[in-house]
Amino acid sequence: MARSSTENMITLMSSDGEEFMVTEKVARECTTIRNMLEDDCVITNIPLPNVTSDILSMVIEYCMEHVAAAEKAAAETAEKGSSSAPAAAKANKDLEEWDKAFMNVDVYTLCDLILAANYLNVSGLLDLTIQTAANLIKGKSPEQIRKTFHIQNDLSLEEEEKIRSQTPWAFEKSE
Amino acid sequence: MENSNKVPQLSRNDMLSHLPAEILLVILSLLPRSDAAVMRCLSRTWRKLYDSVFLSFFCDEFDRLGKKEYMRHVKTTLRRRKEKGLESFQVIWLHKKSDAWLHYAVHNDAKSIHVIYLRDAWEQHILPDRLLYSGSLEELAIYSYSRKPELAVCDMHLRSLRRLIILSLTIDGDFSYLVSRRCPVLKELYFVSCKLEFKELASKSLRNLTIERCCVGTEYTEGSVTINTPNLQHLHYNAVWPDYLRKKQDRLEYVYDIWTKLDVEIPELKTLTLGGLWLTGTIHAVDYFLQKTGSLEHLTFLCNSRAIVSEDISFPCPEDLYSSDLKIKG
Repeated sequence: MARSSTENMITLMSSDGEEFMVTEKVARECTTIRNMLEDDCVITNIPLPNVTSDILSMVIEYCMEHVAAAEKAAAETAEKGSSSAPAAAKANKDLEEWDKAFMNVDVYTLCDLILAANYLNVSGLLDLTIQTAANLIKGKSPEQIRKTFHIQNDLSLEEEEKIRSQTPWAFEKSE
Repeated sequence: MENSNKVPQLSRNDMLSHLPAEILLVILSLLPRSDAAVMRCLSRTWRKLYDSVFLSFFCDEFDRLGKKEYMRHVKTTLRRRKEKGLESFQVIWLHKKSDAWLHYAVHNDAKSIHVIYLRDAWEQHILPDRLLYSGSLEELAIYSYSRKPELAVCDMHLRSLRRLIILSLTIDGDFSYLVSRRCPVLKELYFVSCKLEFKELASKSLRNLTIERCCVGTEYTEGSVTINTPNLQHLHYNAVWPDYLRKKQDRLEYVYDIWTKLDVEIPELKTLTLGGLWLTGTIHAVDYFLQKTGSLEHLTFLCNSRAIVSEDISFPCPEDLYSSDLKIKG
């Protein structure tokens, strides 16, 4: 994964013991890791007991893509002296498309990614995953939402009836 | 996962509800209001979560607890509350001390505030300053059941306000001036059972305007009342007779002369709902509105009171609609 030998490499270790070598720049996308590196600059091996290997590999994939996009934009700016607006807009759109495709996951993976993004403090990924979860909810009836996320209804019939009667306007669209 | 006991043991059945509460609150805040309300009926977890940021101390509690217990209930709930941020806050204003509750809501960046003023509660007709300068407020509703329903507001600036709902208040020129000038993104405005005593309401941002059972103008208003809303798309105007007009003859004259009393600027209007005196007085008054609109798509007549037809009529407009094309059978 290293692009040049001069770049510092960091080893991230998932909860199930798998090791991931990443450049320091990619690792720094995670604010939690950045803070660790700033506290102790000689650290090279970071155990992440809250993140499984399959989720960690996805987080790294996200960070690498976003670091690469930022580097490309910076290089283009340096080359031309100034950034051209249409090119920047296209790059942004490409990255958005990539994010969209990246979010094509099942709800379990989505929730795991939210947890990992929250723990590692990757703000871009956290915003993306939370917005995706919200989009999965929008416009659905209670039954559809329960089915999507496997939510157990532990309210009694009377309680649910009461809630529905308090905000009848919320249930008009779905019934 | 099995080699670390720090891994959160999430149930494979319902991972969403087991995410940290602060994340679930962000999800709730991203949802439109009706979707958030649907989340409340999913399970106990979601009901609790919803109730922690959509604080409602409305008539249910007041009727159940009585005034004294109600005040204690609101006070202790707010004191014990740990969550930061508020989606919505609904409360009954009882006296000057209730301002502290509204301060609390503004301090917690409430997006929506609904206040009810009770019949004998309104000692001073003043909304707290902090409320009137809130930068986060997107929806404000004021319901008055007071005997002195004047609203005295010297100045305000609600830069995020999108929806304003006012029930049973007298709206004077000063207030309409502030609504016109100091709510730059106001999209929806509802006046219900109000006395509209202003001479002008002007807003470029306004898209929806509802005037329901309001008395427009006063006996002493000279000239016309101007509603200048160049971008308005939806107008609902269910009119009542001004209460100073008691004689049938005066009322008929009022409707015949409506164009000298009302000046509306609604070039972008798409849907128009008219009801009340326009229909019971004379159909020619409807003509006045139709002449003001160029791109109307839908016209609805409300025939709910003193009806000349039995049910509401609603139909899409043909491209060039004139009042002579309308047929209403009695």
